[in-house]
Amino acid sequence: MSGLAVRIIPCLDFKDGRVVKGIKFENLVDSGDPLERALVYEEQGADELTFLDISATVEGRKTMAAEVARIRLRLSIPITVGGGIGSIGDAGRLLESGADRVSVNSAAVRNPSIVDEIARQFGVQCAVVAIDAAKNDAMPSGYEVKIAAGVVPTGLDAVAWAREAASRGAGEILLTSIDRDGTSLGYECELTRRVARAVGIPVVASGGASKLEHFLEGYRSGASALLAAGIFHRGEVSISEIKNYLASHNVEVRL
Amino acid sequence: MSERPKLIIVETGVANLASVRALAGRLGLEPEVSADPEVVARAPIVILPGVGAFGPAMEKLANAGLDRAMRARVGAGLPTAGICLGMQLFFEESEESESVPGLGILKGKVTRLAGRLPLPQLGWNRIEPEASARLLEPGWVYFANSYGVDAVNFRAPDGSAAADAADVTDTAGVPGLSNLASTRPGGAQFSTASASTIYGAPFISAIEGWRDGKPNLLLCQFHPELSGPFGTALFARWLELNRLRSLQ
Repeated sequence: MSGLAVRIIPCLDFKDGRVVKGIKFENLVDSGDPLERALVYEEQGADELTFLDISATVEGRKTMAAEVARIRLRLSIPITVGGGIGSIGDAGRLLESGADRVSVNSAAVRNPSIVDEIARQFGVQCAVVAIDAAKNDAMPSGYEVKIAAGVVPTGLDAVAWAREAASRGAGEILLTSIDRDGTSLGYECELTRRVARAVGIPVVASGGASKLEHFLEGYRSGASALLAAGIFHRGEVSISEIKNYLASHNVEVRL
Repeated sequence: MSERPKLIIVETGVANLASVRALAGRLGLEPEVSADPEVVARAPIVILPGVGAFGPAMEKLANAGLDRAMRARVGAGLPTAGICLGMQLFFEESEESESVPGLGILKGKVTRLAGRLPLPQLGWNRIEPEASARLLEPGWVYFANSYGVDAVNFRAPDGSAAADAADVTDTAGVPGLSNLASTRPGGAQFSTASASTIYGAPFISAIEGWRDGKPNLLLCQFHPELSGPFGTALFARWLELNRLRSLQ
């Protein structure tokens, strides 16, 4: 048996150093100072934090690295940073700033060897591959990978790509359902199940969680970690509520 | 401004030391990264951090003469910690890099975690110290590892192994280390207690090593720097028991 706790991960979307949260990757709403947010989530029992940088500019990226460094000094739980990482140099800079793991998304689809490079240079535990997937019945698994913030279809099957990412040295898959993101309808559990079964590395379910039951469903579909954003930022559900709920269903959590 | 005591972080060639530096800051220590064997051999407090693979990290240490520096300081009873891969390097060998010998300060082999659970083990798990542990406490800690020391494989160095621990104090050829060598406590009592964790099967998740009434050695397979207040408190106790930090 595994004594490992399922992780609850608040995700903070950054734009130019501020936390924002989109609905279906659009309509951004500013929701606060990142350090303040990060410390509140640590206090509430977050098992780690994920930061996604959606800045489109070089300036925005620099601000991001500075924010990571500032937050690192105060935060004593792990930080994963993703968004716009296009090279091993970008990954190295963020790790040096204080990220514990980096996630690559579009860059890994365009140039899969970046996954091998990050794993080789920094270790598999540092290499997260983020996959944004949408339903597409033409795909063998029924899900297609999309890149560039979830708008550009790739023709790649989500499960096949996850398997390749794992074989190249990814230590984790951050799996977001584009169809569910921001909808409050719950995780796309079929997607999570298919990917988790196909790879021997942890899978983080993301996109759509808004109720306590959604987290239990996500866990039961094989996710090692459950990510959410809007519901935490808006204070709709607290991390401790989720953990207590999971514990009451005999799921191992860190309380 | 009063000077803060230094914490030497051994340079193993991987950039990601920000979290360990932040831990040092929370402990009121000044972090300094060093690859100088003399500094590493003599510094009051040293951490061997751990990211990357066993073979390359060990080769890097050996090429810089840091392997002997590490053995010397442990042999001399100086407070030394290892984190994650930094713990694994204290053992004789690892399945991750079969041809490269480890520091060999502790007996045993590092193996790939058994079972069919996802690897790496990524996240929070419990450590359960054995009854004789005086520093380690039970609690939740953060892991990111695919390898570990099998609980069955680990041979705790009790009385008979005290000599083993002293034997590895090899300072030959390291400039300036002869004084240290003479302070090595020969047959002094060296005893350890460990904590274990279950991930599919039990593995050794931490080890405290005591000599002359102090826990000079603290090895963590988990990341204390990422284990919230629990990790900070563990290192604070470690420093206090080594009389390097007053009780607050």
